[in-house]
Amino acid sequence: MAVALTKIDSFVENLAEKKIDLSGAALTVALTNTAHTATWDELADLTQVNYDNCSSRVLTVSTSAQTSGTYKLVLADLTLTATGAVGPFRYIYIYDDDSTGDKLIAYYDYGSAVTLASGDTFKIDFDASNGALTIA
Amino acid sequence: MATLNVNPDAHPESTTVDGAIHNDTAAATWATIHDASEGQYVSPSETTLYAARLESDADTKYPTMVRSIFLFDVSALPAGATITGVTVGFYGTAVSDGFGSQSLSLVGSTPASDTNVVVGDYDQFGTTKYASDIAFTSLATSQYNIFTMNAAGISYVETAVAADGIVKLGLRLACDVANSAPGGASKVTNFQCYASDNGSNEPYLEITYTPATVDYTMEVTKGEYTLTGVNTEQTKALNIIVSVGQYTLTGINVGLSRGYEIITEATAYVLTGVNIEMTKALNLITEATAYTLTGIDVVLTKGWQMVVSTGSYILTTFSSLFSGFWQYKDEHTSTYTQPSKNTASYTEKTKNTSSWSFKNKINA
Repeated sequence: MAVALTKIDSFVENLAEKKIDLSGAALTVALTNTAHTATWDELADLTQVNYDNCSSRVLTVSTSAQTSGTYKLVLADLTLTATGAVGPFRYIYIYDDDSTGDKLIAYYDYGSAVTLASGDTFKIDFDASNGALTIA
Repeated sequence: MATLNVNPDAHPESTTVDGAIHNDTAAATWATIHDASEGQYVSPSETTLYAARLESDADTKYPTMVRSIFLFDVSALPAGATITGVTVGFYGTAVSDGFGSQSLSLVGSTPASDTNVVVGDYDQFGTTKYASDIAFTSLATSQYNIFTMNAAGISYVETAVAADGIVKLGLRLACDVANSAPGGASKVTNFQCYASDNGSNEPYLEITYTPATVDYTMEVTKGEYTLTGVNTEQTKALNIIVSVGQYTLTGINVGLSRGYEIITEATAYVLTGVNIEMTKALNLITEATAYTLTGIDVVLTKGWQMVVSTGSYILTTFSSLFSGFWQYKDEHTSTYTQPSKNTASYTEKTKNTSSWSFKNKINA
């Protein structure tokens, strides 16, 4: 079953105040096993897993454009590959690594904790047609 | 890399067993003792086993031969694991090689039951060796004697893993496997080891493996953002181009300000609020029904040029104010005039100056 994107409360303000650039090349995934708190705003608010055994977490922006006044961000699928233990993690965050403070954008709740062993993969399968998020 | 280490069940057995089958036939020829279909007694629950034994009498007959069976339950091996190595260990308690130059062989077995050893299991041993023989000169007591499985042995274990998870092995003297009488009178070659019922130093089988990798996929759906708030504002646009039904700005303060050029199409803007203001547009071009301004105060100010077509503005307010225009063009009549009078009174400020001032009071 598909997992829905959950908004970060501060995202809309940060976006309106030019603190986040969704078109940039620095959208990055962060992993944590701690449930979200509404006041979280920056990467430092997360207790992240150790990434020593994890492949690149940088997302690729396929398109960042508006059509008829609706903005759509389309992200390429990302597969994380473990070369050793990674996790446990349950929550997958997207943040802007270029922003001051590494502002959070949104997150996904996988539903249960995952621990990757060497060779395991974790694929984030974005909707290539409808996009990761829209703003209207 | 991970390992799985298992032992045969002690008595009472549940899934596996270990035990020896003895054939004691007085004055038996080699063929008789070797080819017998069954033994005379078994030892499935002793703490020490005669794992492999051969005796000859004074007439170089072979009245005693012993073979032993060891079953191992490897069903706990994780699914998808890749086996990289298998070892089998037997803790020696007695070693003697009267015949000389003998070796111990690890082979497969097919006992009638996985949880018992019976005399009829005497001839249920294979001849394929699943590890290199261990010479009696290398066998030792008070320590484990370890067979490292060869490719055939690993394959045998893999087959068992894929089947019922029970690896069935046996120990025989190498001369027994080869069906080659060693010769010599009044000789004894014997290897004894602890059995599972000893509770310690039990026979073991250890699998070294690489766990299967797991591939997770998280399919995600898009999230949507809609701008609705107390203050809804779009500011400082040099160029705002919208098409039908694009913006719905609802709030206490709704403002579109400082647009150099705001071009809208039909029904593009619906501004509802206490204060609605469109200010400082150098050029406001609208089409039919482009603006619906509903509020207590509705203000259109300082437009250098405001070109409207029929029905473009609907102003419903307590007070509506047009101020500071050079001229007002009625697209319908294509004439430039001062705003037409309504039923309410208006004040004409000056003519032939750079600006007009028009104030219209509309009946509530």
